[in-house]
Amino acid sequence: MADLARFSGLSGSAPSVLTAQVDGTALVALLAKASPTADRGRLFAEFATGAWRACFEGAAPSTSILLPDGSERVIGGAGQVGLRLLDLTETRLTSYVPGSGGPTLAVAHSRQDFALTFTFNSTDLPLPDAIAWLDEVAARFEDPIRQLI
Amino acid sequence: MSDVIISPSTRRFAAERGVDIDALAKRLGRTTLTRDDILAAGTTAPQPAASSLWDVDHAAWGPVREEPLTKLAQRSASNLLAAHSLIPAVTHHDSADVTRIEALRASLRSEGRKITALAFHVAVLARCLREFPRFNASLSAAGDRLILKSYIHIGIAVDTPYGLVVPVLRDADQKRVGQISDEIADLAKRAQARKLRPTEMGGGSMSISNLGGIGGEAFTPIINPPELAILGLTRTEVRPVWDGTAFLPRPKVPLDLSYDHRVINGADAARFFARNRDLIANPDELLTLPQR
Repeated sequence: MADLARFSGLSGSAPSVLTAQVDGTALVALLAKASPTADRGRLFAEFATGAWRACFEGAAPSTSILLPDGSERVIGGAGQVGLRLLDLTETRLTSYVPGSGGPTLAVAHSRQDFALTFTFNSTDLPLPDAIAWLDEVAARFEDPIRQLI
Repeated sequence: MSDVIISPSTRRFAAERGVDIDALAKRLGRTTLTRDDILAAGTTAPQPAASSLWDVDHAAWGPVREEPLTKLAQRSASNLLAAHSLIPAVTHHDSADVTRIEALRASLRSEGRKITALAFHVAVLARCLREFPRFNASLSAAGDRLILKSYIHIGIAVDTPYGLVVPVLRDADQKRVGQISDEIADLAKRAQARKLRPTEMGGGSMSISNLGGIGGEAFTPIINPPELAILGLTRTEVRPVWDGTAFLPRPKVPLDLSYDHRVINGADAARFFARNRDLIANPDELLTLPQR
């Protein structure tokens, strides 16, 4: 079973990177109607943990949100952080691949599309699991209502 | 023809009130009757007892056979009669665009995941009950207090060979649509097998009666007391919808909301129903965005 908490980090071996680009029309419309205090980083993190629950058994990993200013806040779950999420949607950047640290999902936004970049260690998270999970995350960015399923 | 002297309109009036004019004239010792005599007499003719309407020898008209009603069906009939007789119910009809929901269901089906449309209706209804707490209430037995519920439990009317049963899905507002779909399937399956526990059939906030799998365009569901309202669903059909420039084919589900007019006024019901319709059409709004 996939277990992000077992991650030893990305250093020591070349990280694996998966990317996805999805039509974000529905999500953009949803965010446009949201209150100014809506926390989109947290929403993305919920997509990530929701996708985890949909793909794998067991509790979803706790997640930390990395902000472009370098700060970090942990949300959900207990124990060590299993996934880092970098929200680049308010920048012009399109992706981020860390050279070290745990598995990281970077989210970028260009026009109506969202670009997802997932960096992980394939010795800890088998590639088929990583593909299934990122595909499920991408499905939620494309169709946010999937988060309700 | 009677020998009693009476005007045609008074004769009709007497007939409408069930007054036997010959007997009344004899009792009064008169040959002439007026409208006031009829009014004063009240209804003298014995009214048929309710059961006598069914006390008919059907075999006189052709062969028949009898089939005993199950205890469940008898109890259900008794409850329905009480509900229909005691609740001044109004039924409001509408329809909702399910393009979005059907597209999602089709997408999930292609991935091998089956989520029923009813599960979305339950999720939407749960949200509406949270937003309109007066619908999530019951009248006290004395009718002098409204008991507002903090929980949201949705009754699901299930047709079984033994009669109608309404198992209740608990805490619907706290469950994911997939979980709601699975639990409804489980409740329906156990209802068919008569495996429901008594505790699973009470305490609902509101019920849903879904005839979508069978057909019909509209019906007037009977409220399941002590609940204050019930939502009826019939078959989704593709209908032309004018978008301002052209007619577009859209799948629309007919919705029927019966409510207890003692507690819920028409305007509140219309607002509740409009919200329900809009959430069905735009289920993304069910997603509660986290706040900073």
